[in-house]
Amino acid sequence: MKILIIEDEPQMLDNMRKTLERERYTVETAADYTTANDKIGAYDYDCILLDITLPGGNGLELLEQLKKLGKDDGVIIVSAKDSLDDRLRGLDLGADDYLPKPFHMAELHARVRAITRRRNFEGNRFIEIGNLTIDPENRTVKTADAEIVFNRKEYDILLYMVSNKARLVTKAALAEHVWGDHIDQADSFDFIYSQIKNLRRKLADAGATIEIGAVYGVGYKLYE
Amino acid sequence: MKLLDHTTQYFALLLIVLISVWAVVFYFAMLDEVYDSLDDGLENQKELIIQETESDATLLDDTDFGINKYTIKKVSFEKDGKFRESYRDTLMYMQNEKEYEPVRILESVFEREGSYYKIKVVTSMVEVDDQIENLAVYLVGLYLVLLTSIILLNNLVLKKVWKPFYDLIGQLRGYRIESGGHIEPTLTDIEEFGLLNQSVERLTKKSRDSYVAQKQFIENAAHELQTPLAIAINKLELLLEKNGLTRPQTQEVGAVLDNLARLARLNRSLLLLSRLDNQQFTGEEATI
Repeated sequence: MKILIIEDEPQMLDNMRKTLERERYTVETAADYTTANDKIGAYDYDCILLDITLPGGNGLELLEQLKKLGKDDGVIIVSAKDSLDDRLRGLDLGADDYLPKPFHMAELHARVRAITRRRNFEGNRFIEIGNLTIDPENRTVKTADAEIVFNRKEYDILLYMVSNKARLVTKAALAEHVWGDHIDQADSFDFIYSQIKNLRRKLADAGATIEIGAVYGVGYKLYE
Repeated sequence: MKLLDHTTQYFALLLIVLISVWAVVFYFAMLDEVYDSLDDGLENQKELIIQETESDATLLDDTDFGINKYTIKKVSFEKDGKFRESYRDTLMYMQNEKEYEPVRILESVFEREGSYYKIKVVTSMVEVDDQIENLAVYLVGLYLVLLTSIILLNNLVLKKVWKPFYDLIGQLRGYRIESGGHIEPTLTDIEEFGLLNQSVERLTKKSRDSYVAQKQFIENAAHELQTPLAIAINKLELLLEKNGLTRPQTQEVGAVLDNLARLARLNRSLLLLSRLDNQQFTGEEATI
Protein backbone atom coordinates (compact mmCIF):
# COMPACT_ATOMS: atom_id res chain seq x y z
CA MET A 1 0.00 0.00 0.00
CA LYS A 2 1.56 3.31 -1.08
CA ILE A 3 1.24 6.55 0.75
CA LEU A 4 2.57 9.98 -0.23
CA ILE A 5 3.21 12.52 2.48
CA ILE A 6 3.36 16.11 1.31
CA GLU A 7 4.61 18.22 4.17
CA ASP A 8 7.19 21.00 4.34
CA GLU A 9 8.09 20.69 8.03
CA PRO A 10 10.92 18.07 8.12
CA GLN A 11 10.25 16.82 11.66
CA MET A 12 6.55 16.55 11.09
CA LEU A 13 7.26 14.63 7.90
CA ASP A 14 9.67 12.37 9.74
CA ASN A 15 7.14 11.55 12.47
CA MET A 16 4.43 10.68 10.00
CA ARG A 17 6.77 8.61 7.86
CA LYS A 18 8.06 6.64 10.84
CA THR A 19 4.68 5.82 12.27
CA LEU A 20 3.19 4.81 8.94
CA GLU A 21 6.19 2.68 7.99
CA ARG A 22 5.65 0.68 11.15
CA GLU A 23 2.23 -0.17 9.77
CA ARG A 24 4.09 -1.58 6.75
CA TYR A 25 2.92 1.03 4.33
CA THR A 26 5.26 2.12 1.56
CA VAL A 27 5.82 5.76 2.28
CA GLU A 28 7.06 8.42 -0.12
CA THR A 29 7.56 12.03 0.77
CA ALA A 30 7.58 15.44 -0.87
CA ALA A 31 8.62 18.58 0.93
CA ASP A 32 7.57 21.22 -1.58
CA TYR A 33 5.02 21.96 -4.24
CA THR A 34 7.12 21.08 -7.29
CA THR A 35 8.30 17.71 -5.98
CA ALA A 36 4.77 16.87 -4.91
CA ASN A 37 3.37 17.86 -8.29
CA ASP A 38 5.93 15.68 -10.08
CA LYS A 39 5.15 12.68 -7.90
CA ILE A 40 1.42 13.07 -8.24
CA GLY A 41 1.79 13.22 -11.99
CA ALA A 42 4.10 10.22 -12.21
CA TYR A 43 2.69 7.74 -9.71
CA ASP A 44 -0.54 6.51 -8.22
CA TYR A 45 -0.97 6.39 -4.45
CA ASP A 46 -3.52 4.75 -2.24
CA CYS A 47 -3.48 7.68 0.08
CA ILE A 48 -1.99 11.18 -0.02
CA LEU A 49 -1.45 13.19 3.14
CA LEU A 50 -1.53 16.78 1.99
CA ASP A 51 -0.40 19.89 3.80
CA ILE A 52 -2.06 23.04 2.51
CA THR A 53 0.69 25.59 3.13
CA LEU A 54 3.65 24.51 1.03
CA PRO A 55 6.73 26.30 -0.26
CA GLY A 56 6.10 27.12 -3.89
CA GLY A 57 2.33 26.70 -3.91
CA ASN A 58 -0.89 25.81 -2.22
CA GLY A 59 -1.90 22.27 -1.35
CA LEU A 60 -5.40 22.90 -2.64
CA GLU A 61 -3.94 23.57 -6.10
CA LEU A 62 -2.35 20.12 -5.96
CA LEU A 63 -5.80 18.76 -5.22
CA GLU A 64 -7.18 20.51 -8.30
CA GLN A 65 -4.27 19.19 -10.29
CA LEU A 66 -5.04 15.67 -9.10
CA LYS A 67 -8.63 16.03 -10.17
CA LYS A 68 -7.59 17.37 -13.57
CA LEU A 69 -5.42 14.32 -14.08
CA GLY A 70 -8.44 12.17 -13.38
CA LYS A 71 -6.78 10.35 -10.48
CA ASP A 72 -8.77 8.99 -7.61
CA ASP A 73 -6.07 8.77 -4.96
CA GLY A 74 -7.48 9.05 -1.45
CA VAL A 75 -6.54 12.42 -0.01
CA ILE A 76 -6.36 13.50 3.63
CA ILE A 77 -5.66 17.17 4.11
CA VAL A 78 -3.33 17.73 7.04
CA SER A 79 -3.31 21.37 7.94
CA ALA A 80 -2.43 23.76 10.72
CA LYS A 81 -5.03 26.06 9.25
CA ASP A 82 -8.21 24.66 10.70
CA SER A 83 -10.65 27.11 9.16
CA LEU A 84 -14.09 26.11 8.05
CA ASP A 85 -13.49 27.73 4.66
CA ASP A 86 -10.41 25.64 3.99
CA ARG A 87 -12.11 22.52 5.22
CA LEU A 88 -15.12 23.02 2.98
CA ARG A 89 -13.00 23.94 0.00
CA GLY A 90 -10.76 20.95 0.50
CA LEU A 91 -13.65 18.52 0.76
CA ASP A 92 -15.34 20.25 -2.16
CA LEU A 93 -12.26 19.67 -4.29
CA GLY A 94 -12.49 15.97 -3.59
CA ALA A 95 -10.41 15.41 -0.47
CA ASP A 96 -11.64 12.46 1.57
CA ASP A 97 -10.83 13.81 5.00
CA TYR A 98 -9.47 16.80 6.86
CA LEU A 99 -7.11 16.36 9.79
CA PRO A 100 -6.20 19.53 11.68
CA LYS A 101 -2.84 19.81 13.43
CA PRO A 102 -2.00 18.88 16.11
CA PHE A 103 -3.29 15.34 15.89
CA HIS A 104 -2.47 12.07 17.60
CA MET A 105 -0.63 9.39 15.67
CA ALA A 106 -3.43 6.99 16.52
CA GLU A 107 -5.88 9.36 14.85
CA LEU A 108 -3.71 9.48 11.74
CA HIS A 109 -3.66 5.68 11.58
CA ALA A 110 -7.40 5.48 12.00
CA ARG A 111 -8.05 7.97 9.20
CA VAL A 112 -5.53 6.39 6.84
CA ARG A 113 -6.90 2.98 7.65
CA ALA A 114 -10.43 4.12 6.93
CA ILE A 115 -9.42 5.54 3.54
CA THR A 116 -7.38 2.57 2.42
CA ARG A 117 -10.08 0.19 3.59
CA ARG A 118 -12.72 2.07 1.67
CA ARG A 119 -10.64 2.06 -1.47
CA ASN A 120 -8.90 -1.30 -1.48
CA PHE A 121 -11.30 -3.72 0.09
CA GLU A 122 -14.48 -2.73 -1.58
CA GLY A 123 -15.31 -6.39 -2.12
CA ASN A 124 -14.38 -7.30 1.40
CA ARG A 125 -16.01 -4.69 3.59
CA PHE A 126 -15.51 -6.58 6.82
CA ILE A 127 -12.62 -6.22 9.21
CA GLU A 128 -11.50 -9.47 10.70
CA ILE A 129 -9.55 -9.53 13.88
CA GLY A 130 -9.06 -12.55 16.10
CA ASN A 131 -12.33 -14.42 16.02
CA LEU A 132 -14.32 -11.19 15.49
CA THR A 133 -15.80 -9.81 12.32
CA ILE A 134 -16.54 -6.10 12.26
CA ASP A 135 -18.86 -4.55 9.70
CA PRO A 136 -18.00 -0.83 9.69
CA GLU A 137 -20.92 0.04 7.44
CA ASN A 138 -23.58 -1.39 9.73
CA ARG A 139 -21.56 -0.92 12.88
CA THR A 140 -21.96 -4.50 13.98
CA VAL A 141 -19.50 -6.90 15.62
CA LYS A 142 -19.89 -10.66 15.38
CA THR A 143 -18.16 -13.72 16.70
CA ALA A 144 -18.50 -16.97 14.78
CA ASP A 145 -21.92 -17.71 16.27
CA ALA A 146 -23.35 -14.53 17.86
CA GLU A 147 -23.48 -10.76 17.56
CA ILE A 148 -22.04 -8.68 20.38
CA VAL A 149 -24.14 -5.62 21.10
CA PHE A 150 -22.09 -2.55 21.93
CA ASN A 151 -23.30 0.93 22.61
CA ARG A 152 -22.03 3.69 20.35
CA LYS A 153 -19.07 4.74 22.46
CA GLU A 154 -17.95 1.18 23.05
CA TYR A 155 -18.13 0.43 19.34
CA ASP A 156 -16.16 3.58 18.48
CA ILE A 157 -13.49 2.68 21.03
CA LEU A 158 -13.22 -0.86 19.70
CA LEU A 159 -12.89 0.26 16.09
CA TYR A 160 -10.30 2.84 17.03
CA MET A 161 -8.29 0.27 18.96
CA VAL A 162 -8.55 -2.15 16.04
CA SER A 163 -7.26 0.52 13.64
CA ASN A 164 -4.29 0.94 15.98
CA LYS A 165 -3.84 -2.66 16.95
CA ALA A 166 -0.72 -3.55 18.90
CA ARG A 167 0.08 0.13 19.32
CA LEU A 168 -0.21 2.27 22.40
CA VAL A 169 -3.24 4.53 22.20
CA THR A 170 -3.10 7.33 24.76
CA LYS A 171 -6.20 8.21 26.74
CA ALA A 172 -6.18 11.72 25.27
CA ALA A 173 -6.20 10.39 21.71
CA LEU A 174 -9.00 7.99 22.55
CA ALA A 175 -11.10 10.64 24.27
CA GLU A 176 -10.71 13.10 21.41
CA HIS A 177 -11.59 10.53 18.82
CA VAL A 178 -14.60 9.03 20.56
CA TRP A 179 -16.02 11.93 22.52
CA GLY A 180 -15.06 14.71 20.14
CA ASP A 181 -12.79 17.74 20.33
CA HIS A 182 -14.36 19.33 23.32
CA ILE A 183 -14.12 16.44 25.70
CA ASP A 184 -10.48 17.35 26.19
CA GLN A 185 -11.67 20.20 28.37
CA ALA A 186 -12.26 17.56 31.01
CA ASP A 187 -9.43 17.30 33.50
CA SER A 188 -9.45 13.58 34.02
CA PHE A 189 -10.18 10.79 31.61
CA ASP A 190 -11.85 8.56 34.20
CA PHE A 191 -14.97 8.30 32.07
CA ILE A 192 -12.93 6.33 29.51
CA TYR A 193 -12.15 3.71 32.08
CA SER A 194 -15.78 2.76 32.69
CA GLN A 195 -16.43 2.37 28.96
CA ILE A 196 -13.28 0.25 28.55
CA LYS A 197 -14.40 -1.86 31.49
CA ASN A 198 -17.77 -2.57 29.85
CA LEU A 199 -16.09 -3.22 26.53
CA ARG A 200 -13.69 -5.74 28.10
CA ARG A 201 -16.51 -7.47 29.93
CA LYS A 202 -18.61 -7.82 26.75
CA LEU A 203 -15.60 -9.11 24.79
CA ALA A 204 -14.79 -11.65 27.49
CA ASP A 205 -18.44 -12.74 27.80
CA ALA A 206 -18.59 -13.38 24.05
CA GLY A 207 -15.34 -15.34 24.20
CA ALA A 208 -13.40 -12.96 21.93
CA THR A 209 -9.73 -13.66 21.47
CA ILE A 210 -8.73 -10.01 21.44
CA GLU A 211 -7.98 -8.19 24.63
CA ILE A 212 -7.56 -4.55 25.61
CA GLY A 213 -4.69 -4.03 27.99
CA ALA A 214 -3.81 -0.95 30.02
CA VAL A 215 -0.31 0.50 29.69
CA TYR A 216 0.95 2.03 32.92
CA GLY A 217 -2.06 4.29 33.27
CA VAL A 218 -1.04 6.23 30.12
CA GLY A 219 -3.17 4.47 27.57
CA TYR A 220 -4.41 1.17 26.16
CA LYS A 221 -3.21 -1.44 23.74
CA LEU A 222 -5.14 -4.08 21.81
CA TYR A 223 -3.64 -7.54 21.78
CA GLU A 224 -4.67 -10.29 19.44
CA MET B 1 -33.49 63.62 29.38
CA LYS B 2 -32.56 65.02 26.03
CA LEU B 3 -30.04 67.79 25.69
CA LEU B 4 -32.62 70.16 24.23
CA ASP B 5 -35.11 69.52 27.02
CA HIS B 6 -32.34 70.07 29.49
CA THR B 7 -31.63 73.58 28.23
CA THR B 8 -35.34 74.30 28.04
CA GLN B 9 -35.71 73.26 31.66
CA TYR B 10 -32.97 75.62 32.77
CA PHE B 11 -34.40 78.44 30.69
CA ALA B 12 -37.81 77.90 32.27
CA LEU B 13 -36.41 78.07 35.80
CA LEU B 14 -34.25 81.06 35.01
CA LEU B 15 -37.18 82.85 33.44
CA ILE B 16 -39.35 82.37 36.53
CA VAL B 17 -36.71 84.05 38.68
CA LEU B 18 -35.94 86.77 36.16
CA ILE B 19 -39.55 87.62 35.50
CA SER B 20 -40.40 87.69 39.22
CA VAL B 21 -37.58 90.10 39.98
CA TRP B 22 -38.41 92.12 36.95
CA ALA B 23 -42.09 92.26 37.99
CA VAL B 24 -41.24 93.77 41.39
CA VAL B 25 -38.90 96.34 39.91
CA PHE B 26 -41.34 97.17 37.15
CA TYR B 27 -44.23 97.51 39.61
CA PHE B 28 -42.45 100.06 41.79
CA ALA B 29 -41.02 101.96 38.86
CA MET B 30 -44.47 102.23 37.31
CA LEU B 31 -46.10 103.24 40.58
CA ASP B 32 -43.48 105.89 41.07
CA GLU B 33 -44.19 107.24 37.64
CA VAL B 34 -47.92 107.27 38.31
CA TYR B 35 -47.48 109.17 41.58
CA ASP B 36 -45.21 111.62 39.87
CA SER B 37 -47.76 112.29 37.22
CA LEU B 38 -50.66 112.56 39.73
CA ASP B 39 -48.69 114.90 41.93
CA ASP B 40 -47.91 117.16 38.98
CA GLY B 41 -51.63 117.24 38.16
CA LEU B 42 -52.54 118.11 41.73
CA GLU B 43 -49.94 120.88 41.85
CA ASN B 44 -51.26 122.33 38.66
CA GLN B 45 -54.83 122.20 39.92
CA LYS B 46 -53.82 123.90 43.16
CA GLU B 47 -52.22 126.76 41.22
CA LEU B 48 -55.35 127.15 39.13
CA ILE B 49 -57.60 127.21 42.22
CA ILE B 50 -55.43 129.78 44.01
CA GLN B 51 -55.49 131.97 40.87
CA GLU B 52 -59.27 131.62 40.76
CA THR B 53 -59.62 132.73 44.40
CA GLU B 54 -58.07 136.07 43.50
CA SER B 55 -61.09 136.97 41.39
CA ASP B 56 -63.72 135.09 43.37
CA ALA B 57 -63.33 135.49 47.17
CA THR B 58 -66.30 133.23 47.89
CA LEU B 59 -64.12 130.31 46.90
CA LEU B 60 -61.98 130.94 49.94
CA ASP B 61 -64.49 129.28 52.18
CA ASP B 62 -65.28 125.85 50.77
CA THR B 63 -64.84 123.23 53.44
CA ASP B 64 -66.62 120.38 51.71
CA PHE B 65 -65.23 118.29 48.80
CA GLY B 66 -68.74 117.87 47.31
CA ILE B 67 -68.60 118.12 43.58
CA ASN B 68 -65.37 120.07 43.74
CA LYS B 69 -62.14 118.26 44.07
CA TYR B 70 -60.82 120.61 46.68
CA THR B 71 -61.43 122.35 50.06
CA ILE B 72 -60.13 125.71 51.31
CA LYS B 73 -60.16 126.59 54.97
CA LYS B 74 -58.87 129.61 56.80
CA VAL B 75 -56.21 128.72 59.33
CA SER B 76 -54.19 130.67 61.88
CA PHE B 77 -50.63 131.53 61.08
CA GLU B 78 -49.43 130.22 64.40
CA LYS B 79 -50.70 126.79 63.69
CA ASP B 80 -50.11 126.36 59.98
CA GLY B 81 -48.05 129.33 58.81
CA LYS B 82 -44.94 127.26 58.41
CA PHE B 83 -46.80 124.44 56.73
CA ARG B 84 -45.24 123.19 53.53
CA GLU B 85 -46.85 121.17 50.81
CA SER B 86 -47.48 117.49 51.46
CA TYR B 87 -48.76 114.66 49.32
CA ARG B 88 -50.51 111.73 51.01
CA ASP B 89 -52.52 108.67 50.13
CA THR B 90 -55.84 108.41 51.89
CA LEU B 91 -59.22 106.76 51.49
CA MET B 92 -62.36 108.47 50.36
CA TYR B 93 -65.89 107.15 49.99
CA MET B 94 -66.82 106.74 46.35
CA GLN B 95 -70.48 106.95 45.44
CA ASN B 96 -70.23 104.82 42.33
CA GLU B 97 -68.35 101.93 43.86
CA LYS B 98 -70.02 102.27 47.28
CA GLU B 99 -66.77 101.79 49.10
CA TYR B 100 -63.67 103.55 50.20
CA GLU B 101 -61.14 103.94 47.44
CA PRO B 102 -57.62 105.28 47.65
CA VAL B 103 -57.14 108.89 46.60
CA ARG B 104 -54.12 111.17 46.37
CA ILE B 105 -54.38 114.33 48.35
CA LEU B 106 -52.29 117.53 48.21
CA GLU B 107 -52.32 119.73 51.27
CA SER B 108 -50.88 123.21 51.07
CA VAL B 109 -51.16 126.57 52.80
CA PHE B 110 -51.25 129.93 51.02
CA GLU B 111 -51.48 133.50 52.11
CA ARG B 112 -54.09 135.89 50.91
CA GLU B 113 -54.27 139.53 52.25
CA GLY B 114 -52.63 138.64 55.55
CA SER B 115 -54.77 135.56 56.18
CA TYR B 116 -53.61 131.97 55.78
CA TYR B 117 -55.71 129.38 54.03
CA LYS B 118 -55.23 125.68 53.90
CA ILE B 119 -56.07 124.07 50.57
CA LYS B 120 -56.61 120.35 49.97
CA VAL B 121 -56.83 119.02 46.41
CA VAL B 122 -57.72 115.35 45.73
CA THR B 123 -57.64 113.17 42.73
CA SER B 124 -58.61 109.56 42.43
CA MET B 125 -55.78 107.13 42.17
CA VAL B 126 -54.98 103.77 40.62
CA GLU B 127 -56.19 100.85 42.68
CA VAL B 128 -53.06 99.07 43.81
CA ASP B 129 -54.56 95.58 44.17
CA ASP B 130 -56.16 95.79 40.73
CA GLN B 131 -52.88 97.00 39.40
CA ILE B 132 -50.96 94.07 40.88
CA GLU B 133 -53.51 91.62 39.60
CA ASN B 134 -53.28 93.01 36.09
CA LEU B 135 -49.55 92.99 36.23
CA ALA B 136 -49.50 89.35 37.36
CA VAL B 137 -51.81 88.28 34.54
CA TYR B 138 -49.70 90.04 31.93
CA LEU B 139 -46.51 88.64 33.36
CA VAL B 140 -47.80 85.07 33.30
CA GLY B 141 -48.79 85.74 29.71
CA LEU B 142 -45.32 87.01 28.95
CA TYR B 143 -43.78 83.99 30.66
CA LEU B 144 -45.82 81.57 28.61
CA VAL B 145 -45.05 83.39 25.40
CA LEU B 146 -41.33 83.37 26.19
CA LEU B 147 -41.38 79.70 27.10
CA THR B 148 -43.23 78.77 23.93
CA SER B 149 -40.77 80.69 21.84
CA ILE B 150 -37.84 79.01 23.57
CA ILE B 151 -39.28 75.56 22.96
CA LEU B 152 -39.94 76.47 19.36
CA LEU B 153 -36.44 77.86 19.06
CA ASN B 154 -34.97 74.67 20.50
CA ASN B 155 -36.95 72.43 18.26
CA LEU B 156 -36.39 74.34 15.08
CA VAL B 157 -33.11 76.16 15.38
CA LEU B 158 -31.12 74.23 17.94
CA LYS B 159 -32.12 70.92 16.47
CA LYS B 160 -30.73 72.09 13.18
CA VAL B 161 -27.57 73.39 14.82
CA TRP B 162 -27.00 70.17 16.76
CA LYS B 163 -27.75 67.91 13.82
CA PRO B 164 -24.12 66.87 13.17
CA PHE B 165 -23.85 65.92 16.82
CA TYR B 166 -26.93 63.71 16.73
CA ASP B 167 -25.80 62.15 13.45
CA LEU B 168 -22.49 61.27 15.04
CA ILE B 169 -24.17 59.75 18.10
CA GLY B 170 -26.41 57.68 15.87
CA GLN B 171 -23.45 56.35 13.93
CA LEU B 172 -21.48 55.62 17.07
CA ARG B 173 -24.37 53.63 18.46
CA GLY B 174 -24.41 51.41 15.39
CA TYR B 175 -20.63 51.09 15.24
CA ARG B 176 -19.15 47.62 15.73
CA ILE B 177 -15.40 47.36 15.74
CA GLU B 178 -15.40 43.82 14.38
CA SER B 179 -17.71 44.60 11.49
CA GLY B 180 -15.16 47.02 10.04
CA GLY B 181 -17.52 49.84 9.13
CA HIS B 182 -16.28 53.36 9.57
CA ILE B 183 -17.81 56.58 10.87
CA GLU B 184 -18.84 59.11 8.24
CA PRO B 185 -19.56 62.34 10.06
CA THR B 186 -21.82 65.02 8.57
CA LEU B 187 -19.91 67.99 7.24
CA THR B 188 -20.32 70.97 9.53
CA ASP B 189 -19.25 74.63 9.78
CA ILE B 190 -19.25 74.52 13.57
CA GLU B 191 -15.71 74.33 14.80
CA GLU B 192 -16.39 72.22 17.90
CA PHE B 193 -18.40 69.64 15.98
CA GLY B 194 -15.71 69.52 13.32
CA LEU B 195 -13.17 68.82 16.02
CA LEU B 196 -15.39 66.20 17.60
CA ASN B 197 -15.93 64.47 14.27
CA GLN B 198 -12.22 64.49 13.56
CA SER B 199 -11.37 63.06 16.96
CA VAL B 200 -14.01 60.34 16.72
CA GLU B 201 -12.87 59.42 13.23
CA ARG B 202 -9.27 59.21 14.35
CA LEU B 203 -10.16 57.26 17.46
CA THR B 204 -12.30 54.69 15.66
CA LYS B 205 -9.71 54.23 12.96
CA LYS B 206 -7.00 53.69 15.54
CA SER B 207 -9.09 51.23 17.55
CA ARG B 208 -10.01 49.42 14.39
CA ASP B 209 -6.38 49.16 13.28
CA SER B 210 -5.20 47.81 16.60
CA TYR B 211 -8.15 45.43 16.74
CA VAL B 212 -7.27 44.02 13.32
CA ALA B 213 -3.58 43.81 14.21
CA GLN B 214 -4.37 42.02 17.43
CA LYS B 215 -6.73 39.60 15.74
CA GLN B 216 -4.16 38.82 13.08
CA PHE B 217 -1.51 38.33 15.69
CA ILE B 218 -3.63 35.85 17.62
CA GLU B 219 -4.52 34.01 14.45
CA ASN B 220 -0.94 33.83 13.21
CA ALA B 221 0.47 32.91 16.60
CA ALA B 222 -2.09 30.16 17.05
CA HIS B 223 -1.44 28.80 13.56
CA GLU B 224 2.31 28.92 13.92
CA LEU B 225 2.07 27.06 17.21
CA GLN B 226 0.12 24.17 15.70
CA THR B 227 3.02 22.54 13.87
CA PRO B 228 5.59 22.53 16.69
CA LEU B 229 2.89 21.26 19.02
CA ALA B 230 2.02 18.48 16.61
CA ILE B 231 5.67 17.53 16.23
CA ALA B 232 6.26 17.41 19.99
CA ILE B 233 3.12 15.38 20.67
CA ASN B 234 3.82 12.92 17.88
CA LYS B 235 7.46 12.46 18.83
CA LEU B 236 6.43 11.57 22.36
CA GLU B 237 3.76 9.20 21.07
CA LEU B 238 6.36 7.47 18.94
CA LEU B 239 8.65 7.31 21.94
CA LEU B 240 5.89 5.70 24.02
CA GLU B 241 5.45 3.00 21.43
CA LYS B 242 9.08 2.00 21.63
CA ASN B 243 9.43 -1.05 23.77
CA GLY B 244 11.79 -0.94 26.70
CA LEU B 245 10.47 2.11 28.49
CA THR B 246 10.07 1.43 32.18
CA ARG B 247 6.83 2.15 33.96
CA PRO B 248 8.04 5.43 35.56
CA GLN B 249 9.47 6.58 32.23
CA THR B 250 6.22 5.83 30.48
CA GLN B 251 4.30 7.76 33.09
CA GLU B 252 6.66 10.74 32.80
CA VAL B 253 6.19 10.83 29.06
CA GLY B 254 2.44 10.51 29.63
CA ALA B 255 2.51 13.53 31.95
CA VAL B 256 4.41 15.59 29.37
CA LEU B 257 1.86 14.52 26.76
CA ASP B 258 -0.99 15.62 29.02
CA ASN B 259 0.54 19.04 29.38
CA LEU B 260 1.14 19.33 25.67
CA ALA B 261 -2.49 18.41 25.18
CA ARG B 262 -3.48 21.23 27.50
CA LEU B 263 -1.34 23.60 25.48
CA ALA B 264 -3.01 22.36 22.31
CA ARG B 265 -6.43 22.99 23.89
CA LEU B 266 -5.52 26.55 24.79
CA ASN B 267 -4.24 27.07 21.30
CA ARG B 268 -7.40 25.65 19.83
CA SER B 269 -9.45 28.06 21.93
CA LEU B 270 -7.44 30.95 20.57
CA LEU B 271 -7.98 29.75 17.05
CA LEU B 272 -11.67 29.34 17.75
CA LEU B 273 -11.83 32.94 18.90
CA SER B 274 -10.21 34.28 15.78
CA ARG B 275 -12.34 31.97 13.66
CA LEU B 276 -15.54 33.19 15.26
CA ASP B 277 -14.57 36.69 14.26
CA ASN B 278 -13.79 35.55 10.75
CA GLN B 279 -17.17 33.90 10.43
CA GLN B 280 -18.79 37.09 11.57
CA PHE B 281 -17.02 38.96 8.80
CA THR B 282 -18.06 36.64 6.04
CA GLY B 283 -21.60 36.51 7.40
CA GLU B 284 -21.93 40.25 7.28
CA GLU B 285 -20.30 40.60 3.93
CA ALA B 286 -22.78 38.13 2.52
CA THR B 287 -25.79 40.12 3.68
CA ILE B 288 -24.64 43.40 2.12
